[in-house]
Amino acid sequence: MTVEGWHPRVLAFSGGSLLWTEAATVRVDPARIAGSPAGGQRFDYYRAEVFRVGLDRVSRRFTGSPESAAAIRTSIAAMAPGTLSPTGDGGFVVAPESRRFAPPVVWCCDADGVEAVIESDGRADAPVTVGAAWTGTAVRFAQLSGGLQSLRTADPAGLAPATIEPTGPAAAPGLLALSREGVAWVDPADPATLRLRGAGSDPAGATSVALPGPALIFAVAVRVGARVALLRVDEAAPVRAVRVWTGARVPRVALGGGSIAVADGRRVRASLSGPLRVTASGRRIVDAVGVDGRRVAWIERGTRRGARVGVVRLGRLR
Amino acid sequence: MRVRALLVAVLALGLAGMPATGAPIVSLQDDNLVNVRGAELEARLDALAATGIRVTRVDVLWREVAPTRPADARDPADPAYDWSRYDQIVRGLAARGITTILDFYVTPVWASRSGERTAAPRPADGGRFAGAIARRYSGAFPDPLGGVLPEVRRIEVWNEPNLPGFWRPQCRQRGGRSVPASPRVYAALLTAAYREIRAANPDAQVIGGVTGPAGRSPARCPADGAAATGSLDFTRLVADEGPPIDAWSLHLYPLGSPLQAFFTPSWNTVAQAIRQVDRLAPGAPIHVTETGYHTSYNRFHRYFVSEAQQAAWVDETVVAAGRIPRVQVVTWFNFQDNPRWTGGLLRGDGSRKPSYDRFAAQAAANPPPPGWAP
Repeated sequence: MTVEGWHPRVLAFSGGSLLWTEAATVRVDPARIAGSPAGGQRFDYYRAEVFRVGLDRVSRRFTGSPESAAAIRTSIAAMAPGTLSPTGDGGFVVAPESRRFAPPVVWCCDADGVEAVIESDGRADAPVTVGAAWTGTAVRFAQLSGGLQSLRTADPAGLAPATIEPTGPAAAPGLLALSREGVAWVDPADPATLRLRGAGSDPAGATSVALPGPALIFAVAVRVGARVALLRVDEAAPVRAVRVWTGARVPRVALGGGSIAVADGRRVRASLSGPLRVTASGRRIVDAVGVDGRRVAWIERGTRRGARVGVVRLGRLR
Repeated sequence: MRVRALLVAVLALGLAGMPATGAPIVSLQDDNLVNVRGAELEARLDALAATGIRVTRVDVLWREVAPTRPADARDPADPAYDWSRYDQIVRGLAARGITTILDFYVTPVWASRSGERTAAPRPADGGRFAGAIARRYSGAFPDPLGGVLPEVRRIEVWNEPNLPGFWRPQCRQRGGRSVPASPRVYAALLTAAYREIRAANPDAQVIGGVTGPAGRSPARCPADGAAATGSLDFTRLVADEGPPIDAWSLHLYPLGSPLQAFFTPSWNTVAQAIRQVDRLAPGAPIHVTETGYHTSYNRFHRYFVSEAQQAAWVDETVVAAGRIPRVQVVTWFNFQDNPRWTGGLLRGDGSRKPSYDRFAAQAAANPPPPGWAP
């Protein structure tokens, strides 16, 4: 299956669906749009859009065409895909990122297909969301504001009151991640220590994991000399960091169902445990990867009639 | 970068308070007026008046005024009608020197086959209700509190009848293609309403259209007929039916700045609508009775801008409208944010966005001409 453009994307499996968030700058040019009125001027706007496509029972084939499941559009500034956290039934929590403003956090969807806006604050100094996850009953998301970090929980149905949990030292964008059960962060002042704790537990009781170098992003990647190492940190005791991949640059990383996968140039490397192994080799650069247990998906660059397209492929971990 | 920022600031200052020739009347709607009563309503009216506006728009929710079928629907004194909240609003606005434009929608259970709120009403029923509004606010109807109720001279027929959220069905599937259904029925309502309003108050101005922001009409019509009809298509198809009007209204929520945007409908496409309106009433005024920009994402409006952009685009909106001499009124929607609508001048907590001061400056610079006094 092909999709338009080589836009930044993140992929995730959610039940019998494959999802991806796509971030793009939309260049609107009246000269290229038939029927445009005189006086129209070129301008840009920005979008972060989640697409969903059905999969067959064994997740080997697509069962339809992608549909837009959520579309966030703004004239403020460009967005990055940010976080796409599956809820397991085709639904998701999406939290795009931007350096210039605070994009919304959106949960999708209830039985009628209606989304819930978890957070959307238009003030210039609004807190910035740096991670979001689905706990099974609520959306938990981390925000940074004025050097402070807070962990908030919201019920999409609005039945339970929103809560704010105390957290440890403030992380920075890219140094905090949430899972269904816990939160992991790196204090920029102590970049070689990863802190882990279950949501709702005492922040003082966070587990510390020594890293072999300063952390860059959660999965966890660390800089080791001139190289980047990707570490697997399982929450089960004893908590320790195991190196699973080493490369020259921070790769695109996906986690899901206990597996980890990276897009490494033209290759997709993934594993359920231990070092990552080559799962697929594409013809061109792989731009995005998703994993869920043994299911793997990736998008590699392609062209069709001279236009850039992304080729979405499905595979399995052996 | 610094030079660019400075230029933007100078441009914003240059646009501010620009009393352009041919500039439209700058108006503001507070959709929460109809949800509050008593002292709370008076406080909201005071807040609205504090912006300096001299014209506003108020939604008359037909279903609330007439929950049961009146024996004589033309008679506003029929006991089936409850006008109490609207009497207080119209009275309060007039006392504050603010002219009211009334629109009506939300179909009562008894006025359609399906009984749904969004069901297309039987045109005769809708027309009689329009007549009752015009008669009650004709300037000669007794006020239950003494004296007479103020006159309202401008009545919009419905709200966004081209959108399924306000009017169904919009279309029917026939011969493998979608056939618009709403324009013809709406034109019948407009004809009936015009006749009844003018019979009640010959000085009243009847405003048709009130089209909502929709670009294209659907190629296939869903089974429930709930697919928006493009605003330009709707205008053309209503014009084909030839109902009488005194003015035409449309709603613009452009994607992009007011001066740049060109998707239908936006300020750059108003001329296309005017060509269709001229088939009905050559030279009829154009009222843009809703426009604005949201400052955060909500599921009903997925496009948003920053608060600073919203403030700058208040000014640009007036400039864009001023370039179209036929545009007589521009109404910013809405006064205050709520969970469904984040395009207010005030945030949900009541604090002012930067757009508040820009809007107040524009309202002061663009007062209504003589003849618009309440």
